[in-house]
Amino acid sequence: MTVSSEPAPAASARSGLLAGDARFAVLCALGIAAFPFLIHPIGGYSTLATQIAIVSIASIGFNLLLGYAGSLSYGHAMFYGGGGYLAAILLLRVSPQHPNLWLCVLGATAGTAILAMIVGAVTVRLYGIYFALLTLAFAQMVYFIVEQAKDWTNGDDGLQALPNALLPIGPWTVDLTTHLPSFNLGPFGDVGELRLWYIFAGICLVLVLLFARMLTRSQFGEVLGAIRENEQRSTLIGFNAPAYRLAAFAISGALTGFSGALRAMFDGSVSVDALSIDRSGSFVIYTIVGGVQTLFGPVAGTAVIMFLENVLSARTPAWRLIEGLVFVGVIVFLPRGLSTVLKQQRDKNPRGLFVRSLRPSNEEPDALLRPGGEGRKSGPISIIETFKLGKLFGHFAANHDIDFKVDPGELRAVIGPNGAGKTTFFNLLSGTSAPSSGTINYKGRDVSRLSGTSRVHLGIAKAFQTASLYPDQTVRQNCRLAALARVQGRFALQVFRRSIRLDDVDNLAERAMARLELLDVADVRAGDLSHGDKKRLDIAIALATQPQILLLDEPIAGMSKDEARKTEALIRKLATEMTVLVIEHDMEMVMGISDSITVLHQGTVLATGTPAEIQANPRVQEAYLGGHSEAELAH
Amino acid sequence: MKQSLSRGRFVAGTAGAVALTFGGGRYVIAAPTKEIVIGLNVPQSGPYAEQGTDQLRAYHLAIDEINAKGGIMGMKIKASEGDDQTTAGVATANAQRMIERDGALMITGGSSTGTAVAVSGLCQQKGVIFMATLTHGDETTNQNCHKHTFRRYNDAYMSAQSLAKTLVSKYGTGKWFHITADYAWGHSVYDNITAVVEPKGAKTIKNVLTPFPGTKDFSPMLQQAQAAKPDVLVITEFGADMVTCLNQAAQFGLTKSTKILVPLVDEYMAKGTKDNFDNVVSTAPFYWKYHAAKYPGAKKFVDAFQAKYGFPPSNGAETAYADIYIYKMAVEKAGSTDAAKVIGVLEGTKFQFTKEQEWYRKEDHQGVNSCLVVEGIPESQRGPGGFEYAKVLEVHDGPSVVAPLAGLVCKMETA
Amino acid sequence: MEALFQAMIGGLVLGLIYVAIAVGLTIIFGTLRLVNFAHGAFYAIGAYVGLVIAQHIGVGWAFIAAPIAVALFAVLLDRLVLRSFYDKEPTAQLLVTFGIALVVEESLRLIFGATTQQYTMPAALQGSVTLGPITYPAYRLLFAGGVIVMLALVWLFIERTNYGLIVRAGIRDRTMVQLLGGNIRQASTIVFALGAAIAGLVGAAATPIYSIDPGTGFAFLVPSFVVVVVGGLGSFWGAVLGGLLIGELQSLTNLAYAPASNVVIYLCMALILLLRPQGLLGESEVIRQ
Repeated sequence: MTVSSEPAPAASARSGLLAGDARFAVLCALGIAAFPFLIHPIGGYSTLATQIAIVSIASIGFNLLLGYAGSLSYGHAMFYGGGGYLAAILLLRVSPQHPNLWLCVLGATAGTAILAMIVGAVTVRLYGIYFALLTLAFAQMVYFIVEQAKDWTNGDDGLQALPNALLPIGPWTVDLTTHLPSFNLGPFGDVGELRLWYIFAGICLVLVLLFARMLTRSQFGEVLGAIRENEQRSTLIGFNAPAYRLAAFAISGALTGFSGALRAMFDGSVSVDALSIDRSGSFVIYTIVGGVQTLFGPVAGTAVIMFLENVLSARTPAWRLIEGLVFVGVIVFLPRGLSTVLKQQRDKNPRGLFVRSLRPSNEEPDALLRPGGEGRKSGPISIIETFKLGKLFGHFAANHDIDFKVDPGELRAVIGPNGAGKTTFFNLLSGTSAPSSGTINYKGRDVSRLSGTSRVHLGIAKAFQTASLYPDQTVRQNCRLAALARVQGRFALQVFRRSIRLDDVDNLAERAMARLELLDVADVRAGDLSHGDKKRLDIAIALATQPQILLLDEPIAGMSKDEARKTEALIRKLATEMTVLVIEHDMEMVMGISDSITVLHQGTVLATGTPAEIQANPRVQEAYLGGHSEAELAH
Repeated sequence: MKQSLSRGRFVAGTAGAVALTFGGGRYVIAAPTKEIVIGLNVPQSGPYAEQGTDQLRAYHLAIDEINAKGGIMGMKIKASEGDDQTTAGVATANAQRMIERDGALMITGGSSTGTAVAVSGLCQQKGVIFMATLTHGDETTNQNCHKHTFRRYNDAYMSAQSLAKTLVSKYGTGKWFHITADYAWGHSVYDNITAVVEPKGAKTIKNVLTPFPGTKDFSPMLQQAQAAKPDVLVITEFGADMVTCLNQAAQFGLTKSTKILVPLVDEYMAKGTKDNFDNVVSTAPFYWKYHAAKYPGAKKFVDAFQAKYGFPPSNGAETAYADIYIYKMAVEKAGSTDAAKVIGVLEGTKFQFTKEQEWYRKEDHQGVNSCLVVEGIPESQRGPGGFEYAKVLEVHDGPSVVAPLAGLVCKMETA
Repeated sequence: MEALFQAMIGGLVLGLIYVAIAVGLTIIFGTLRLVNFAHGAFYAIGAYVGLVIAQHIGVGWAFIAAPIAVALFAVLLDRLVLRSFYDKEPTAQLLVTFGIALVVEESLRLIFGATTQQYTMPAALQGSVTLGPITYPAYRLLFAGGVIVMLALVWLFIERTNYGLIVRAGIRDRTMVQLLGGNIRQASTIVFALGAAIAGLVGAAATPIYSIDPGTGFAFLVPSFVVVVVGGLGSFWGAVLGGLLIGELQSLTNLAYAPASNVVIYLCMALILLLRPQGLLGESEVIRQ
């Protein structure tokens, strides 16, 4: 999904949006109406057309997860088949004499949504192939349960010859199996071959397409896309990434379940192959072939593949081979679209590609702020205070016994030789890592167990050592995302509309860009920026969350001398309104702008003091340089 | 945007080309045709693929023969084929396509009770006659009977009765161990066999279920069988599964130490198991060598099949061939392809094609015809191609082994 | 009791097949960072090549021809298609290798037919061996022994040769190895071919036991992925431990309640993914800077 590069539409353009939606819906409806007739001369028939329409809904649901949330599920059959079985069971067990289609289908969808939320709660912690395998595992377990629960599901034989469910609409009761009136269209067949089912399925499809379109352009969709593009950054500007992924999973599963329910009602039967691995795989094939980046892609893919399956399978045993070749061809020859969409968090750690629990394992996720933890009661003055803070990696103590205090408004530099544990310390402060020991107090409250996302909303923001940006978005969009997080909070299920309170969001973004002097590159793609601009953008993003304390990890590293000085000046100005902690190696800057300096060495605090005090401190000199001269230290 | 266009063109181009090549205008649902379309819905993949393929051969033989003589009431038969993949969902989808798109008036085929039951239900809904060929489980004409469904092949009850009558004097009081495919057919067979032999004193040690489909390795079950040291081992598996299981049983020495029963067999299964089938007792509704010697109709069929394909037909092929001819007879007698009329004829007519005189019962549409108990012979005695796989121990005529009406739960629709 | 003992040996045999496939998967991932969903295809191709050679020439030649054929196929695949995917996201790799697996399976179906096939071992190898209270088919034991020997050779390769060193270093830090001048490209190709060849050899050797049909490759692949996840992606011993564990689990569940034998391995994988996602012997998450 690419967020449009025009500036966010003002309120008056809202009606333009609605008109666009209406236009879209009409076009879809026309296409769907024409479809069965268009395929007739090449071997299509009405049942097939209806089935294609129904299964397309599942593909759209699947694509929501794959194309927009960036997660490949290999178990979506559990929703498709699950929806089918739920609908069939509702049909057979709840008033089979007066079968009500609404009840069966909507009930099945609700049930599937619940299943999706349960499975999602467990699976969205994982990524990449682990996520795919875990969804596969769950799908197999559902398959097994359905197979064994013979009293309810008839086991391997499936539920056959279901009674016909009727659709009460107002005063009428509609039987969807009724044929339309006959009207011959020559080679395109006869209208009378179609049943009301096709109209019903078509309407459902249009509504789902409309929903998908609105969702992907909505605030929710925007944040989802941001999380897909750079989850690390999204978390540390305050978006609750797991919640978004769970919501996407649940919506995806519900749509797929809806499709499965419709299919079972239409076919009049459901069997265990609706739950099979092949079924899960088919959604992957339909969506990839049709196009993950697009709204209509999954529909097209479903139509093409299902049609070919039907036409070809009777003609040649090689049809699945052809399908496989097309699939591989699409992936191999059109990789750019695929990789942009499937891009997961780029991480130096290869294993991080697969497994990441963004919450440190001993965290309590939504813990309310607690009164100050063990240790000294902090005075009202310090904004951040840590007591015996430590972090162990295996046996290696990256940080230990750190007692650290900084007052509001200070510009504190954190320096130390390589390996001193500076970045680890920042990670503890920002919430990226969880402490192994000790506590962190923020404005008198213990935040040690609080997630990074929550800390952002409390006012702790971080800029990364390696700029973490949304490379395909413009500078302005990058800042807007951060501002959006600030304005909307950790999670907002705004699936229908664009960003609320756009003005607030815009203003925050503008101000952040202005403070970091990025306005002249506001509409440049972040990935195309120079190194220095990228670093400043990273800071601007952090700034757009309206922090009270800003953590800057080597903000001028790699910059040219001019850029460095310019950035230094900007940082100094920032420090007049908020607390700033800076990790730096550039001694000129450190000595020049800091109010005070903390020196870390071998994981703990060596000394704290004014620049002058630190410069004169012999232990500091020893730690850094093994006793070289003052003159050298001044560099 | 460029990518999606290219992809769109790529996919659309391929789709279009392929569709035009294979679809063409052949499937336009035209107005009234001079053809009778028959849907051939058989497995061409999966464990029963060989059985399905042989049925297809027989179908084509019958259809070609009939068309050469002018078809049915002057209308040629046109076949619409599909691979049901031994899966209920696919089988019904095929049947639906055959009925809706191709206008099939009769559906036939199937090698598993699961698919047969599914297709049966669909055909009932659509008002199309279903002549189930190779389905053996009782359900097809009992719990899941339908007015439009006819099944000529022996069912599990008949096989069990036949086996029991022939063998029980020798093994009745022995210890029996069962390995059973875990689906409708397997359970049907197991229930029937134990219902017959246990009252006579047989002791069922254990019934081990094998997940169906997909069990490749029967060694866990065979190991249990070996440990139990039974007198009789019943392997209720079919098609390629039976071949794998019996061959693996040989590796465990079971073929030498125990009498093995395979409730239903065909020529391909015997070929696949080669010498391991020696001394194995089984049933079949038709055995080409036996029936060709006894009935001219069978000889004609076997000779024609052999002439066309170079080898004799399996018993699945026979019932496929017969089903086409039976349908032809019924349509001609009814004077119409109208399903209700054809059903009426089928319910009330006795006929003879490749076996003795036979009929369908009105109550459940189960075919009443003979069931053979056969015993495997060594590979060295099997003649060219290994199709002459057994000697006939006993022939039980239909009425003596068919399930009694009293026990039926079949409630057939009125139309 | 005998049944239990037999089930455990059966689990060992099954487990060793999983180990062989999983070891290939895991070392390929370790060096090439490739998530290879087509690995089952290697098994299947090896099995069919073995089948054809065994039926027409001889069983012994089958065991030589199969791994060679598969290795060649793997190298071809590498050059033509997979090379461009080594740096792509794992999801993209999963998808393309899934597509390749589909193409291979369908091609095999067209060439060899859909039926289940098998070749018989020479008479000398048929027959059973008595192990205390139970008798067990001789070939299966021989097969188990052969796989163990093969794994030992692979282990030696990884631990004792230069290529192996590059493999192990590459698992830890690929970039560093390249910077240090290690010819990781060549080592990677060799490792890929080796992993494939192992799967191919096992495919050929296991066919007398399990038979082969076009779907067998995929049928063995999914449990092998489960094994890799359980044992730890990138870990040789993890693959060994995981494979034996999963094989035994399946076999014993088959004894207790057969219908559950398929789902129990997924349950196991789910538990591992939720409780210890790096696998039993996988490394815990490396420090994130």
